[in-house]
Amino acid sequence: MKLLLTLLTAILLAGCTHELFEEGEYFHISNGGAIMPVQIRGEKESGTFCIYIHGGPGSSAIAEATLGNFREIEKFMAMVYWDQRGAGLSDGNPKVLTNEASAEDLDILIQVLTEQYGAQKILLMGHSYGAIISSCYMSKSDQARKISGWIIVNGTADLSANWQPAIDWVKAEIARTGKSAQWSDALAWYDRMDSTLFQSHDEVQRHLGYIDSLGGKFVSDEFRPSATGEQVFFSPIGLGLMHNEKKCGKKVTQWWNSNYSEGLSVVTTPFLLITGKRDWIIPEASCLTTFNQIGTQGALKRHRSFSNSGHHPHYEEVDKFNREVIDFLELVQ
Amino acid sequence: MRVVLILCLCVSLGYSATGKKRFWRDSQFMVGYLGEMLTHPGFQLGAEQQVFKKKKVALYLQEECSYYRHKRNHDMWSFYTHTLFQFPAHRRCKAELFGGMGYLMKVINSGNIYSRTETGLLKVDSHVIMHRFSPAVGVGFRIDVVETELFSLSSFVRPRIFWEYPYNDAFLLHGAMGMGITIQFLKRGAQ
Repeated sequence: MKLLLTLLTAILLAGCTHELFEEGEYFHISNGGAIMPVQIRGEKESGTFCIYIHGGPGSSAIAEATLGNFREIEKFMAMVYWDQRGAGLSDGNPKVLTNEASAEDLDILIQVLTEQYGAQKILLMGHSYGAIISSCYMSKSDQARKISGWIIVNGTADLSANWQPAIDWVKAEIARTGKSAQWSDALAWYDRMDSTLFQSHDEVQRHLGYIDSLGGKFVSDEFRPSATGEQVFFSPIGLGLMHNEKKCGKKVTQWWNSNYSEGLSVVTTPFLLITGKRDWIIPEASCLTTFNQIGTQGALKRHRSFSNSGHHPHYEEVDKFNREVIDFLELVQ
Repeated sequence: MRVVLILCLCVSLGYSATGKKRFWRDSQFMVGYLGEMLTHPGFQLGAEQQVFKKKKVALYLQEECSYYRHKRNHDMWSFYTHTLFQFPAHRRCKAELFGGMGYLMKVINSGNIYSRTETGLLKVDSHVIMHRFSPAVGVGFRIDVVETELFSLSSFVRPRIFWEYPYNDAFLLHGAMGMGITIQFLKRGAQ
């Protein structure tokens, strides 16, 4: 009995969360059956709010924010961590999981930041698949006008054109390492593909798995985040994050064929593209195609290539990444 | 589904109330800590009604109400009817297996909930309540601590898994740890 009471007391005392979950402010966005959490951390008084649009589909901005990689940026503006519908810590029961539905959620979030938090400047920062959501949003001029600055991190507006260069890299990398026999299944699978490349989320995941195995995602495993015991037991993340990560991508309609490049020529918003040179999930060349399609002119459009990064420059070269984003603020009117 | 669960509760409680003496002889009451993923604090209250007992195995019908708080995310109330098998493990220790159906009332309450009306205005709510169906299974251990003619006291540890449906249109798996005591006010056989 004593042992039970001691254990009980220890658990109650230990029932605290990660300090970064405790910081800042939380609210939720409700739309179309989805209930999406939003965490705001950093300098709200600056009037500048940067919405981090996570990748995936199915990842979590709030979970990523626990890494604390944007701490420096948070000294200059408010960072807004929003978990998309069906992803991360999102709850509810949304009937529709599409890029367009997420873009509508984003518009509601922007309205909340403007009307409830007095946001004067709003920036979008889309990483990987988050670049698709932000491109979907920015491709409509009435929406693009609400945005003061747009950042894409290893992302493209046209995923349909993204895969072939990466497949070519996988084949070349296998040939370079001289392990064709070991990779015969993968090579045969790629050879069987027709021009449409991928038919399902699982096929995309298989392809991305090959890239990861060949070192085309992370420069080093030390940067690879994983769900820790602390996240599962001492945070609001729990098992929901892993569940959503697994299920969400399968439900987002044909996300791997998304293409929003058509509407980008009329965009004049200051734009920053950050790419990891060693990323083959979204190769730098794909990102640059989008960079060239965006209508923003001259000095208002920047590209920074990080030579020691793969798919996550904001994990792999944190200081440099933060400096570039803070410097970009000078372009934001 | 909610109606079915409420009916289950009513039937079992009705069964429990038949015959005052038998009710006290056959009932045990439990109170304890219920931690979602062990560490998200909550409590549980319940009653266990012995349906039959053979030499080694006893079968209980367990009614339970529990609550836990998921920090900066949500609160959850749950109402369960479990079937619990109990059999001797070692001396005063009993092993348990249980499974049952429940109903979860999840309250999203961390900060305002914003939505947009048809006219494009923001609507603000302080909380949203979601009703969920939830099956559960678990194992447990119970140690008889005190036994007198007037009452008996046992402590239990009951880890369990339960599912939440619909959560983003699918079943979401949860884990929980229940720890506490059961009290039987009048021992079986005593007057």
